[in-house]
Amino acid sequence: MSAESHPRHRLDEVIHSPLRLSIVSALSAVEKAEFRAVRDAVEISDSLLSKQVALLEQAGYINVHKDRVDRRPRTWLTLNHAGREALAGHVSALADITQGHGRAVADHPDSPPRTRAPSARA
Amino acid sequence: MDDPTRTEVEAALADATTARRALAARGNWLRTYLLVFAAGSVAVVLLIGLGGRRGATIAMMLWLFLVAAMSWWGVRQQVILRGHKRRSFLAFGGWGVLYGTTLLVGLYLFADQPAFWVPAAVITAAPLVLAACWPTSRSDGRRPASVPTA
Repeated sequence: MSAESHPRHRLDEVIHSPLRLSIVSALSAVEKAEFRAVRDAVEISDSLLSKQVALLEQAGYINVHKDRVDRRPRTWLTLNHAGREALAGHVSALADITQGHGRAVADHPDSPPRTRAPSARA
Repeated sequence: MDDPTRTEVEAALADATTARRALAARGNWLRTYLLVFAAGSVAVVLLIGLGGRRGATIAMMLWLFLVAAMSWWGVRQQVILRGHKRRSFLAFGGWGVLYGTTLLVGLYLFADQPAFWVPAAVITAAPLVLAACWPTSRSDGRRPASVPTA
């Protein structure tokens, strides 16, 4: 495998962070979710989630929408098409990197189906 | 960016899958929403068909209360699952057709006849129950999220 074709080059630098991977993976299961629900699902603080959301929004992977209920502001997060594509590509790259070990990767909903037997290690 | 080790990959994906499941679980409120409306629909249809004028009045008050209460509750939910709008549209659309047909046929031809109104009440609620019980789509139709134990 040449250096240029190594799957590490397909890892998404934004999603590569385990925390951001959790956030986009959680959002991939829903159409949209409120900030507090994502915070509770990922089990992080408000401030940390805010930072990660800002990064993901800047990368163009999530959309942020605000509304109000009972005069209380709410922030909705949506994983957009680019984000879904990025997540699928990232998980696919992880699958390729860990080929031969990757049940955990293969079982992720965004990983590609395994069509070939694990290659022998050199 | 260094190549992640297998352990790092598994840990990251395990956390991601846990977060995904936790968030998706909070989107299952639509099932309760539809089942409550289904139960309310049965009551309303029976009241209208068998309760006379008083029954119809109670039915309308019950339905208004139900719509108000469930709307209040629904708008405060924090997660909307994929396919939510389509599921709701099909559920209430199907319900509306059956409800209208039931009233039209029943009030003219089968007034105060339980043999018509009882099954009609159940059938009218069927689209709501079906939509409530229909499996929610998992990860875009791919394999369900899971992480094997080490």
